[in-house]
Amino acid sequence: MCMRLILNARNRTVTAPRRKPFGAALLLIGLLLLTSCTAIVLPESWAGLTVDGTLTEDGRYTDVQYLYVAYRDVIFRIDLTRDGIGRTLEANQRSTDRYVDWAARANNNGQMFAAPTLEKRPEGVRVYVGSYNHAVYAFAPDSGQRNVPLANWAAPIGTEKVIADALINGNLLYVGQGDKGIKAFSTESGALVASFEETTFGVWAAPVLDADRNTLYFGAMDRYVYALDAETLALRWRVEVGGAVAATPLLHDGILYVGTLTSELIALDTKLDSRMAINNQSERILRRYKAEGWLWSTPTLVNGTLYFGDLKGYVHAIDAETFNPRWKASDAERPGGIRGKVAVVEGRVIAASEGRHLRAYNAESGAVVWTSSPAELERILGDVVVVDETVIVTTKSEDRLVVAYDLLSGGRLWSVRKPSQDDINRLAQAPR
Amino acid sequence: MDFLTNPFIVVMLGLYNLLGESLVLAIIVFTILSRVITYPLTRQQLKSSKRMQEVAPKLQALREQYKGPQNREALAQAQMQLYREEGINPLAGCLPLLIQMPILFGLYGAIYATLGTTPLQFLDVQHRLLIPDLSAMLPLKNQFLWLNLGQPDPLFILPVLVVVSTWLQSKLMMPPTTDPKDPSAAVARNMTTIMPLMVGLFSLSFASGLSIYWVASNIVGIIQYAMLGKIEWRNLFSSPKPVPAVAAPKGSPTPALEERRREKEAAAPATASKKRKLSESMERPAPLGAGGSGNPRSHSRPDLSRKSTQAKPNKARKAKK
Repeated sequence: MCMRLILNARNRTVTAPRRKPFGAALLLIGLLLLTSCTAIVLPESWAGLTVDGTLTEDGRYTDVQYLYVAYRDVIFRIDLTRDGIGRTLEANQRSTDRYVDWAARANNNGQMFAAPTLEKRPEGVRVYVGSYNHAVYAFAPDSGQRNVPLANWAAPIGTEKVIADALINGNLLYVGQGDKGIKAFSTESGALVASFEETTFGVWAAPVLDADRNTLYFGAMDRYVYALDAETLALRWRVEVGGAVAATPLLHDGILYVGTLTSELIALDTKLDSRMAINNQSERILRRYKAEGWLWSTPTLVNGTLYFGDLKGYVHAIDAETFNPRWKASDAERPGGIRGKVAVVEGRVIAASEGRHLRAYNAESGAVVWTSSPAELERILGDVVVVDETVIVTTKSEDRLVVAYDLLSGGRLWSVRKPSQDDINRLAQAPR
Repeated sequence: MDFLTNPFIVVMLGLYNLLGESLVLAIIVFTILSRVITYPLTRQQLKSSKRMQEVAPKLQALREQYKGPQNREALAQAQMQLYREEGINPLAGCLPLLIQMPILFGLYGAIYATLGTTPLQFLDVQHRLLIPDLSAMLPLKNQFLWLNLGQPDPLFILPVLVVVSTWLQSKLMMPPTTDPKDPSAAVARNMTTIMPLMVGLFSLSFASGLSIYWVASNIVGIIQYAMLGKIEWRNLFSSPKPVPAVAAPKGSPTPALEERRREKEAAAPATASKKRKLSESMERPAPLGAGGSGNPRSHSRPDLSRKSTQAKPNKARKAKK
């Protein structure tokens, strides 16, 4: 590096300066420091919301005290009966926030893309959620180990990244794998009980269980819908549906309704005794309905009508028997895709969109009943749930991560932000 | 950049379909196509940089002559005049680069979007598909050998290839320097080391599909430069050889410039002869004090200041009278 260049040119010698190695070295060190100091861009998704309550036939949850939310590497619980500082709310008392009474962080920055799955146990609720960090966590909010996952419960090495919500069936926890297949873990220890790895792409949504037939149904990103034995995860049949399936199917009366990323809603007959090879039983496909955009949510079935939103921003109402459209509506003023599941309560279809608003449509006619106000800071990508007289969604904003609206008017009632590390530490030490 | 990225996504998906659903082939062919399409711009850029290299000795001479901050303005004027005489637009090298940059960003964005592995990235693709039927192809098969093309290479082979190919390209294309003291030459030398490392560092965390694009782009770039005969193979094993800085000043232009001048003369003799006269007048010793440099060698240097070049036609006019 410290060489000198002697140049002869027309009897004149030009001596090059010493090349300073320090400049390059300093630049390199600076660059390395810069790289290491720069926050790693973590993969992200939308918040998953689970209601701990009873889902009634009219589409709303009742007897609800807690909501569980997983977003990025934090999972927390909202107590709906208390205000932001923990005071118990009287009936009809208003407050613009709600109390977070438990929060925990995933190990190693594990990003959680799924909604928490709840298991009621004698010692208290147990919460399961998978992470993009190749892990499945179990939390016990009411135990001594509060702000970290349970140390004695661990999914084995070889677990892939998880995007899908989990499903509990007895002592089995089914978890779709982000790259390939689905696995069943023991809810007691996290040990692997069974696995199915014959999908060519990931499983991004929770399976649905047909307890009568002991069969598990799910769609995969490889454009197939699978039916597996619920105990052994052995393949019973599969159907190619033409597009990737990213949402949990709806099972009703032996008919499986599946939305695809080719903008189709497909009805499959699960009761059929097909003579076709199990690898592609296309005769199970009963009907197809073409929407405007991708379908990334589970349809909601009410009184023989299927309601669902698409990613072009349309809400569809179609006859479940015939797939004949009843109405289709969109918000031209506030365009944005509808990713989450719509809620249908009291003759209203409530859909949340990337346009940062909620909209309620008349379930019969599709006429607009209300549009929520004010607008959210970020797009709304989560499912819409109704708890008593309140519509609750999750947004992409950490400041107003969980937001509640009035079911009748669409006015905003309260919101809860994502807990910080200080909140998590404080809550872990708080007396029970 | 969506207006470029979105059509590129369509092209990318089309190639993927045509090439037997091979994402690696689609990325490589896409990279080659984009390089071929932007080839006229690359060539233009190279020509321009070559012309700049040809006049570099003269520029260096000017810099020597107009040393010091007090001569900065005079130096700028002299340089501009030199550019005018040689018919060089100093920005001509940047313009093709500026046109290429959005294309590169669009291409990069298209590859990044189609490799999306998280739900949010995937959601974004839906809004970018100009042809909705292309949804049926998604997600793309992103497994290739040991690689998941949407994830960084776990064996670090691709980052190494990225570093080596970027280093090779920058090393082979480094132009000869006229003056080792020139700070821009030093920066160029440092960049030859730092750039590949920087790109390599990035590729440690980027999707391996993007690293494949990077390697393919570097290789195609080297081939293109080789086809143009611009590659400095000797740079591989040594520092770039400096071009004699004072070979040209005493009025004798570089052989390439001379050749170009002859060509121009043949094409337009009248204009060329005028230029030659101007050039000859520049080569004459400047009147004492006109250079104002106080440099003992300044009398033998071309004086390109406006003052001196304007003075000579006046003399000629007087002589006519």
